[in-house]
Amino acid sequence: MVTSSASPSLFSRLLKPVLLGAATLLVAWLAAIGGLAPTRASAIAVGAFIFVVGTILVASEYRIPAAFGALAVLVATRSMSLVDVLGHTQLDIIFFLCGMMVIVGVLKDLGFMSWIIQSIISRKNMTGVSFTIILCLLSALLASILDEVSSIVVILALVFQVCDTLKIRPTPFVLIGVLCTNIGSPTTMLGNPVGIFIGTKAGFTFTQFLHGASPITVVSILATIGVLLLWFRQDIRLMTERMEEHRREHKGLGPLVKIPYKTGLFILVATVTTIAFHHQIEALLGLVGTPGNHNAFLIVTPLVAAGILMAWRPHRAGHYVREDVEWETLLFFMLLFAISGSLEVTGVTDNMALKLRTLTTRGLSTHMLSALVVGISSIGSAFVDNMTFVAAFSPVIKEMVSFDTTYNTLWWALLFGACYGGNITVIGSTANIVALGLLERHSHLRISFLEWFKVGLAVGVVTCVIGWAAICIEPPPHPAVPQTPAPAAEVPDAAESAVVSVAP
Amino acid sequence: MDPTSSNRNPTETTVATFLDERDIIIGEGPLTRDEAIHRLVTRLASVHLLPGAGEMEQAIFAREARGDTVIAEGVALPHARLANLQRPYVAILTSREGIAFAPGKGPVKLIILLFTPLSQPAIHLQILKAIATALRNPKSVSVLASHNSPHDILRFFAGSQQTVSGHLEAADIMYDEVLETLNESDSLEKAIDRLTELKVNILPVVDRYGTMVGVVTINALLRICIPQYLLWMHDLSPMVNFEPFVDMLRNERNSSIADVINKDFAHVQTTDPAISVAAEFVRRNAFTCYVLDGTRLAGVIKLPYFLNKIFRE
Repeated sequence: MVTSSASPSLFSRLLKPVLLGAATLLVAWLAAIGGLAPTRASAIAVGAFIFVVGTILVASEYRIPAAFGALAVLVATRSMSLVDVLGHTQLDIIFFLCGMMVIVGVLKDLGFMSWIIQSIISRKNMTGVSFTIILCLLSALLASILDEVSSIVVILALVFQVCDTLKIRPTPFVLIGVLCTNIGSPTTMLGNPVGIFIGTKAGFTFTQFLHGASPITVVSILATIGVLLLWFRQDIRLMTERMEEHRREHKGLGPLVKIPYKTGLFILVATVTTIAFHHQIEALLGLVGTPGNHNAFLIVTPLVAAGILMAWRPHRAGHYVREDVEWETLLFFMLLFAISGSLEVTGVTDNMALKLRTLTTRGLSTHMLSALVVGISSIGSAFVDNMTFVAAFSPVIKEMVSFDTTYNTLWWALLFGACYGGNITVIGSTANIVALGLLERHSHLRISFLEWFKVGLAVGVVTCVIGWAAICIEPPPHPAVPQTPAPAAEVPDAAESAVVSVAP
Repeated sequence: MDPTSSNRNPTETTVATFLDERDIIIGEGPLTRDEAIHRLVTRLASVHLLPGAGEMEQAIFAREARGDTVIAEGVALPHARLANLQRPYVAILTSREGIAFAPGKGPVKLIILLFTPLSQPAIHLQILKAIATALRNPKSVSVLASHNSPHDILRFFAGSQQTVSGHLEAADIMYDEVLETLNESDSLEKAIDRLTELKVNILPVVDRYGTMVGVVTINALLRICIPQYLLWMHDLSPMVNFEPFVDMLRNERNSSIADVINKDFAHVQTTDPAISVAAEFVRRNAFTCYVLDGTRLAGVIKLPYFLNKIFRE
């Protein structure tokens, strides 16, 4: 009963930091000699970014200390000024996410989430197939109007309730729920931090974003349902059998109580509607076109709604702020945005944009460039938090769009690559990691890397191909405020390997 | 019984190791409980030159005040742990007439007094257990009380198989009398009946081979009625009539306890050191720890019982 745990040897404790340090130096050196980071400041910026990415990969529990350290190095070496650090923390996005997290907390508190679960388990004559389809659609829908983490918490509560009652292994249905959550999350700017980041960086309005993303999500989710029904057919058949047995014994799938859901539903509809019409509200208020106020009401609406709700329920206001806002995640995002900003400040992203643009002059079409962005961002997001890749890639695309607005399709390539790529591995998205933790805590079960990878890769490849094909066949809308094309800049000749360099 | 006739290694420590013929008082006449204890304490103090006989006596009376120490018919085992002792001391008094030791209990013919160092709860509990085990057979008490020679009494304990190792195992402190269990094929109705009748919040579940398969707790029953997603709601006032319990009340007879068995429960093996029981209590935030012999249920240790054993017994 008493177990002794041997402490790791000095070698194994030092191995990871030494490898991480070596990788950081190697990539910074390669970026320098490859022309991406020709200055000392830009090489340090690349090193700092790679150091944080590497830490997420090998020891994610140290990601915040690593980000603090990387920022300190950037400031200490004068690679980035403190003003630049603060300017790149993207407080608009942090405020938006904070407001949405409070709103989700209120919805849980009011019973709206409980009502959703109960609405499913109270359905008559459900089968394994119909439950799976409902699970997929609900996961995608919730992820698109709430956020992926809140969505997965609700979805897994539903899965555990049904699987515990029917005495079946919840793992396949947890996987189904998470995969569909990741697919639904890029439908709106609310679903995934990546969505609001790309939306605000590119300058999309909420409705433009929805108009561009939702058709692709619908096709992707339908294809995913097909893949999952086939992949987990045995587990779904077992669920059908158990449901029939349960019905024969006149048993339900859980307690059924009257839950007052209307207030929660009203709050959600009112918030989403206000966000959806943010552009019109901004126009009414005369904010459109004024400097620094682009998408202002998109960001402000969740804060206003959260403020009203907290004033309405003052005795719970502290609870919402303490328990429902994921401060650790938000802090990491701020640090990550600042470190990614160093790539922009030191000119690394300009150089990357120039290199990519050079590729197009060598015959690489925009469609192939989209495929490249989908591929890189999906593979990258499979192994590192998708926000990391998006934060680093956005300035590159922004720079390319400033040359030619046809590159706006790359925003969509980045969005779908990052979100759908997150399905490939167990560490690909925040929702995956949260789901794993919940499964282990609730059922003492683990999902192996391979078990996830097999189905994740199948779904990831199918949906990334759908996303890319949709972008190519019917290019989604361009941002409301198109980026001003750069003054007729000469595209460097293929023979030239000129790079933009920014002095530190 | 000749000690040399047993299979036990003669170098092993037993109760007899701490017993001296001079500490055995034979066939005293009519005595009260307090007089008997006084004589035993005085004898120990004079034979072994122990200081503070008065404090020793007070410690025994304080322990008796918390609950009498009559461990079986005709036997009392008054005991105390003292800070200034270096080793355990045992003294015995026999009485042919019997002594009224505790209200509501029959006269005792054998009083075994035990003092151990305060810092050695393990040896204290092991000696208590060794004595209790040696006297489990009621005939033994009568035979011992009828002996006329301290030597015969000492030989009895020297021949006992119960050794005192100094480190405490889970089996040494478990309760292994009648254990209430549920069978894994029992209905939810029976589980609720037993939990309410026995006024306990946990019951072990065994299969038909006696293997312990898990526990049923009141908490698990409540969790079925009020799943986590209902607890998300801060205000449960809409459910004024216990609506979440309706399904269970309707189905308790045709529902198996398999739905509520928790397989993740606090347990140790009989041979595990007693400290692992404490670790299980802390690690699982548990109130009850089950003691298994392989996979079979051997005993149970409840937290207050454990604390009493370690700190107060």
